[in-house]
Amino acid sequence: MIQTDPASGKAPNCPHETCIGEQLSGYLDGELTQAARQRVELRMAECAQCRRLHDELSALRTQLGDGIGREFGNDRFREHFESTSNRTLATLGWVAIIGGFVALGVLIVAGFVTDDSVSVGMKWLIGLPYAGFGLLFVAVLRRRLRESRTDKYNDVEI
Amino acid sequence: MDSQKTTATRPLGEQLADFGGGAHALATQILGNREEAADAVQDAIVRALQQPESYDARRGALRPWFFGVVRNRCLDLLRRRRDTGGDVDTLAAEQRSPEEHAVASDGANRLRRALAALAPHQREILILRDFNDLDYAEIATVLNLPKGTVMSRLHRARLALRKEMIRRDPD
Repeated sequence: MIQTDPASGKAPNCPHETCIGEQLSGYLDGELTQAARQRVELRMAECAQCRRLHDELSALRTQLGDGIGREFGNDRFREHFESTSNRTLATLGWVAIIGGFVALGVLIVAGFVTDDSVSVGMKWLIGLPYAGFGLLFVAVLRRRLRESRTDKYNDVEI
Repeated sequence: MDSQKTTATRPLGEQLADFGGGAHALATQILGNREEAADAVQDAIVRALQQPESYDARRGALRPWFFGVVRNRCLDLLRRRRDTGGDVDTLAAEQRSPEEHAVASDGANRLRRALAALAPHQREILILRDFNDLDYAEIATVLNLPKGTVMSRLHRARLALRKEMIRRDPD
């Protein structure tokens, strides 16, 4: 085991007065200037202790990156945004469908009511069941919306 | 680097989600708990989306800025904790999912325990560099440090990790 000086990170057995110390990490990470990099390479060519420390730290970097890498992925965070955007799309879809049918219904009803060729009695006879369906639809929709806001089991996945 | 900046073609939320894994790793090393770390990352994403104007592309890339937001969120959580202690083995264990408990190799376990034995500021700089591949300038942004300090702190963290690894397996 190569002992290192805790204050400077140098190898105390290194025969050179000015050892590379923290420059070694800069060298490993490609953060040194060309001149500094060459000084480190020259020193490592001369100093077996420095070379061994370089190899140990390099292996540790790889091990850390690989060991941690397997545990953390982006999927759980992407899922949040995928489901959010899908919900938004679905909401827009429903608004378009319902809005479209409501507009169509209003046009049809308006045309039927203003049609002079149909008697008033016949208009009531034909219109009443459709009005009933419409009221039932609104009642069910309101109940479902209320339940979706208050149902404590909404988010439970089976 | 340009691909990490906010662009008009991709929503900010999707870009931040791309950094989720790395942010989760960072938050886990700060908080010592995977699920709490995941919540912290989620909180940071929500906050970043609520205040997108707080990111200035002229000051740097998106990823280091976001990691800084995550780190600040984690530090907020740490301050609220009454008991931040915990023995090394508990801290290392909380960093793993149940599946990983079952299949982790001895080497991986040794690494986790060694990492858990380090000081939080050492763990976070190692994760930023060796897992997230941030350069020194980006690390300086995340940690709010002078760039010159990053290399020395990182080197000491690596030596400390190496020392812990050797202590756990002298062979």
